[in-house]
Amino acid sequence: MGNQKLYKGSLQTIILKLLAQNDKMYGYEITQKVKELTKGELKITEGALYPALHKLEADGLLDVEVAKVDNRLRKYYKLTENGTKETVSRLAEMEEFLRTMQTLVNPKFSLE
Amino acid sequence: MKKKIKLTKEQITYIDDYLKHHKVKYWDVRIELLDHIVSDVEDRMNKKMSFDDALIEAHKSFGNSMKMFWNSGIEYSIFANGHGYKDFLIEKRKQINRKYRKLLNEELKNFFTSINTLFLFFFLALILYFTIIFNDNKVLQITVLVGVFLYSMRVYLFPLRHWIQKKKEKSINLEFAVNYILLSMLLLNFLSLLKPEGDSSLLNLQQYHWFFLVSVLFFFVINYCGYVVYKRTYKYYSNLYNKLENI
Repeated sequence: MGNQKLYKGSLQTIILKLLAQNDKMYGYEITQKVKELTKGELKITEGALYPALHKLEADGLLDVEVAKVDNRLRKYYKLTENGTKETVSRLAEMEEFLRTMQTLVNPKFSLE
Repeated sequence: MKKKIKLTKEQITYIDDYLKHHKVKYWDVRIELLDHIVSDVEDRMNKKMSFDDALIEAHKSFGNSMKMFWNSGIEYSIFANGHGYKDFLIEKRKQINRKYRKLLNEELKNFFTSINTLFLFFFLALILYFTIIFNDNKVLQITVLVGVFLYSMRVYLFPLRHWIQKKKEKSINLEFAVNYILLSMLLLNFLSLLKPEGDSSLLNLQQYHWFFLVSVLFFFVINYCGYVVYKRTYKYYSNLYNKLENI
């Protein structure tokens, strides 16, 4: 398992990206989806996931829908219009960040 | 294909009681935690874990711990603490507070950009101007101010009804939706503190009258917008609570 601290700052972007791909998701589903996509490399803890979800909701980037599922209620999160716009800009920021890190970690020297 | 294990109603109630035991007193927080824990426990039970062990694992996943301690010299006991849920609630409160501050701000913006409410604002400003600054009739002044005050107090009818109906379950959303409106009461406190008495008063009578007028206006606007936010929240969470009760 990699260093979880490195992923910490990207948690909100990961959540936004997943919701952009999956329309609506619930908390447990997000943790499982991340585990599945990263083949267990990244495990989002419950203590980190929910504060991030609630912050995105308070910022108006996520909307909530509650539905009845097997003898209980389930809270689904989905992107708002602002959330969709924010996802695009955060993903662009993330790509920029990855490019910068790539340059720093693995610089390509040129004669120019 | 083998049928997947689903928790029974009794097992779900057991987990809900376990959350109440760990002081998760708000039902609108518990629904999310309950669904997460039930999904987690079901998944683990499908991988051949027992209900009790699966619940212990779910308990630990929220940052709670299970500590063994020496129980009165007879045997070791397991003490389950709910520190993880405590942190969860602290974070939730912080975000809910932000959410309702933002909603109130948005409503204030709507108030000052809509023709109807702007008309209401200037109409009230005019009435206050003629009763407070342009008039000495105490009966008229008191009637207008009591009218504004009572109209602003409509928002508290919802918690009052809740209390009369003896509904014990608490909602974090309804608790915070009323918080910022309560702050407007501070304006009324300022009015009594700044009332000119004697020579050493901060404001003279004319300044005080203007301060009074502006404070009453803002008290009205905050309560008006707070009422809109609270009413919307109340309607949504009452429907949700009915849905929960009908499960």
